[in-house]
Amino acid sequence: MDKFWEISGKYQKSHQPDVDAAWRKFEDRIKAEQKGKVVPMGRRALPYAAAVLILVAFVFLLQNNFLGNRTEMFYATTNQETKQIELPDGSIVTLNENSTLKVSVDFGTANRSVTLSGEAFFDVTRNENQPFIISADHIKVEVLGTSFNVRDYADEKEAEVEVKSGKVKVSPPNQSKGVLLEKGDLALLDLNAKMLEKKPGEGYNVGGWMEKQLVFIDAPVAQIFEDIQRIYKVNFITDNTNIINCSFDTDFKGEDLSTVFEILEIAFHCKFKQLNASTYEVVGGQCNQE
Amino acid sequence: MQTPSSDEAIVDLLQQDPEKGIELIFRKYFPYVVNIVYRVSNDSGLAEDIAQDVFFELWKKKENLKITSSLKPYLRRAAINKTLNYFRDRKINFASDEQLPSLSTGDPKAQQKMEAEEMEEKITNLIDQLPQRCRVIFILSRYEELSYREIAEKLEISDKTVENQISKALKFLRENLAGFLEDDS
Repeated sequence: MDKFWEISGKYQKSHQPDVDAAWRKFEDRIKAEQKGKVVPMGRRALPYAAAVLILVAFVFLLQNNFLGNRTEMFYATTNQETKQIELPDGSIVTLNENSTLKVSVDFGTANRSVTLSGEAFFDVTRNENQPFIISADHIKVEVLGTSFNVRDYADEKEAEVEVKSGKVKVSPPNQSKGVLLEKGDLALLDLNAKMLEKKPGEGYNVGGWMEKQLVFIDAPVAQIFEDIQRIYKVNFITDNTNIINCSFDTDFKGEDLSTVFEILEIAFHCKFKQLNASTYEVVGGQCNQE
Repeated sequence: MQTPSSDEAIVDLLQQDPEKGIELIFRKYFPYVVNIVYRVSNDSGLAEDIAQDVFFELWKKKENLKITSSLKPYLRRAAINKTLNYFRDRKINFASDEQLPSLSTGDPKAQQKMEAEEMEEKITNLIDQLPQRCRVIFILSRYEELSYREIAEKLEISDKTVENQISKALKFLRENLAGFLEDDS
C-alpha cells in the first residue's frame, strides 16, 4: 500500500450547516408537495372533497402558471451583453448579445425544446431518450448531448452551426432531411439560395465570442471585418474590393480596437479613417503577398 | 416528549407519523449527509442542496421504504449516488487536461517535522488544491471506498482515467510531502 495513500487519511473536512434553517426550508418543500396529495376519506366527505379539490387545483394552477416556474421562460440580451443560463436538465446555454432564448413550459418533462433568435453556445447534457431541439429563425438543430455554436441572427444572410464535440443534426425548419455534423464540422445555410451546406469548420472560434477571442486561419477579410464589427460594436464602410477578398491569419485576444486596426493596417497597407463615434472607412490597401 | 433513539424506531415512526419521523431523521442526519457531499465536492452550498434532495427522496419513498441495513449507511449511499450523478451530468467542470498546481514550499528538507495537527492541515490543503476532477475521483476512492470500476461507471469515464487521476493525486502528495516525513522510504 502506498505510503501517501496511507497518510492522505488525515484529510479533514467539515462544514456545520444551520440545521434549523435547513429544516425550515425542507418543511416548506414537503408541505408544498403534500398539497397535491389525495387522502382517503368517507363518502360523506365527497362533496367537500370535490370543492377542496377544485380550490387546490386552482391554487396549484395559479402558483405554477402565473407565479411559479412552469411558465415559459424567456431570456434576452442587449448590445454587448452575454448571459449564461442553466436549464433544468443541467444543459448550459451562453447567449451572445442581441439574442433571445425561449424555453418551453414542459422542458425537461415532455421535451427538451428551446427557441433561439441570434447566437448562442450550447453545452447540452446527454440524454439518449430525449433529444435537445433548438428552433432558430431559419434552422432547426437536434442533438443528444454535445457542445456547439448556433448563429442565426435575423438580419444576417447566413445561418450557421459549428460543432465542438459530439454529433448534431441540422435541418431547415419544417423539413426532416438535414445534415449530420460531427466534431469540427460546420453547417451553413445560405438564406438567399436556401442551400444547406456542410463543410469542415475552422474549428478555432467555436464559441470564441464568449472570451472575446478570435482566431482566423486563412480567413477572408470580409469574415474578419464582420466579426470585428460585431464584437467591437463598430461599422466599417468599404467598397474596397482590393482587400475584401484577401485572406489572412491572425488572432485577437481581447485587444483594444486601436491595436486591431494597427495589425490590419500593417497587414493590408490600408487605413481606418474614423468618420464618427462608431463608423470607420477602410481606405486603400492590397492583399499581402506571402 | 418521547423521542425514539434507535434508527429502527425512527423508521417505524416515519411510517406511522411521517411528519414527526422525517423531522427527527432530518435533524439527526442532515449534518452527516452534508459532510459526506462536502468532502467530495468541496462546496458547502452544493453539499446542503444535495443533502436536501437526499431527504426529500426519502420522504417521497416513505410508504414503501425497506431499509435492510440501518438508516445511516442508506443515507450515505444515497448521498454518494446523488453527488456522482451531479458530477456526471456536469462534465463541463471536468476539463480533461487540468494542470496540477506547482507549489513552491522552499526546500522541504530544511523544515522541521510537523506536529500531527499541522500535518492534517497540510494534507487537507494539498488535496483541496488538486484539480476538481482529480480531487473528486481521489476522494471517492480513498474515503468512500468505491472501486475504480464503480467510479468509472458512475461518472461515465474510462477505468484508465480513474487510475490515472488517482496516481496523479498520489504523485502530487508525494512530491509535496516527501520532505516532511521521516526518511524511511
